[in-house]
Amino acid sequence: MKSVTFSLAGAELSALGSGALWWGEKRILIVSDLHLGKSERIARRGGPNLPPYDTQDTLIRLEHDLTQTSAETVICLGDSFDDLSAVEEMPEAESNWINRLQAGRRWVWIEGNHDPGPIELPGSHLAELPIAPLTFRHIAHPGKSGEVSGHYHPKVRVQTRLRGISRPAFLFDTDRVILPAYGTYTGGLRSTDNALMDLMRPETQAIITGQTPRIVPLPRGPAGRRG
Amino acid sequence: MWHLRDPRTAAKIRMNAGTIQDSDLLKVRMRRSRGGKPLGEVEEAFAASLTPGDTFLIGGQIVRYEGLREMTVEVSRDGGRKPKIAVFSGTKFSTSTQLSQRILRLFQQDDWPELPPHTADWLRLQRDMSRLPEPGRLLVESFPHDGRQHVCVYGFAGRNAQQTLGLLLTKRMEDMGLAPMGFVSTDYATLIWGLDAMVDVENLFDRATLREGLDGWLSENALMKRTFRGAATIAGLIERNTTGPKKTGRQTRFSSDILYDTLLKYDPDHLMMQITRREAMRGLVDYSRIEEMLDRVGTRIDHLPLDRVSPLSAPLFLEVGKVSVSGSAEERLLAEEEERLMATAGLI
Repeated sequence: MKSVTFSLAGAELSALGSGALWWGEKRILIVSDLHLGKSERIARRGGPNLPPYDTQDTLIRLEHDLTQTSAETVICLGDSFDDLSAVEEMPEAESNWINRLQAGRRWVWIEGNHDPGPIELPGSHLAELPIAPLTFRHIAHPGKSGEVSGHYHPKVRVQTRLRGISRPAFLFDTDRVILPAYGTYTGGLRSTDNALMDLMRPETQAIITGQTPRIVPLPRGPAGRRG
Repeated sequence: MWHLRDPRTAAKIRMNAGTIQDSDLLKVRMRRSRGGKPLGEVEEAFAASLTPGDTFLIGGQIVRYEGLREMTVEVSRDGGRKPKIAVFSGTKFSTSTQLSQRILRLFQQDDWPELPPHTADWLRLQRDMSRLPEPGRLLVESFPHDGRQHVCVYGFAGRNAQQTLGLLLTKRMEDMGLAPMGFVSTDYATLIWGLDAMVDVENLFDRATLREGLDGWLSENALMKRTFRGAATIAGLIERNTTGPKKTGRQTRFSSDILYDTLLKYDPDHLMMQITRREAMRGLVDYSRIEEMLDRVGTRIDHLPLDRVSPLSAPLFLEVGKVSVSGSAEERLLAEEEERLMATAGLI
């Protein structure tokens, strides 16, 4: 399992190429913004009928990460479902699948802005979860530290010698880490967007996802502001 | 009986039915020219191939590409220098195979008094620096340029066959670990670029492995994704940038790629995939054309390693319709960049 390890408030965390975060010491796997049922919601609201396999694809990848890490606890950092109907109308095969993934481990659903509040699926539902020295929540609070959050779907564009490559990425500084979106049909917000620039410290580093996760300092300043 | 869930869809279907897909155009504007007149328009595919600092000629002046913002290509003035990309031209046309054969015969003359002097000079220079393609033989040049390694295959098999050859060879090179990054084809040649230099050319054209590649390449190649994007737009699966809030071209491409990959994995026989396959095949000539070329050539493959771009391959660099290939090259470029950035930042 290829990963990049960094430390946050004294906790040693590993960023996986899939976009999941692994806290080895506590055997906790953290994923963010699964957006399960997104294609179903878009179709229901009169948008295009996208291929309805995104939930399946997201769960396959999650299952793979769970098998690789044998995690004892799973924390979903919010926006796990696209909306309430997406949970209610989830095909039985998929909710059974989630039940199967949950078997034998602690499972925490952190509430996000898309999430409807408590749902019927098993697991604890929390607004946020502190496990010293870290705190898990959906949207980062400026001024907090030891914080693990999601919400922004950060992505980073790396200008290599020959080609610009843009991928979902983890962003971290001494106070916090922001996870990339794990769901299959999820876009991204450039790391150079003001919402992220204002939140993160100047010495922020990024870990881009992919076959092999890689760490790069975040491009800053006028040159970095433009994609 | 069926009916539309949303009556507004009817307008969209009518607009898309029988569409010949136009290439999306992006406006080119001077940076910080508040609402000034745009300098002109370029095709989205051309804009996507630019990197900041590239210069090109538009509206009678040389400009430097700064970035893509919303749906506008932002440029700044760049005085005096020669443009890196000389000209942007959208037309693509095919020549017949008879004409290709005539060109090959023409190349065999000792001199070309009937041609304009600059064309004759160009051919003489090619003969001095490298050699001219000959009937019954296959000329392959390889050379470094601009930080990349290039291979140019003068098959003279027509644009479609050369395009198919480009797809097959890049797949083969990826398997050989040469990290190809893209290719472009014309009626007479295919130019491929990547990270590593080509040494074993005979092996590259190995008939059996090329044939094998043919069965596998179709579903995973870049051309299929491009075709899918067109089909998906006409079908209304993805929005065209006609009404409502504008998205950037890059976003559209990104999402159509994800849709393609998802369908390929879970529903490869979906109607959209059938359409894409048929449509892509129409643009590619039967593999028999390439086999025919290989038969004609046999083992007479002339590989010339050069130290720079050859005169005959130079026009290929200006050709539009470049197909980019992503594979091990991206992983390696990222690894390289990671190391460079970390070293610069003093972190390792």
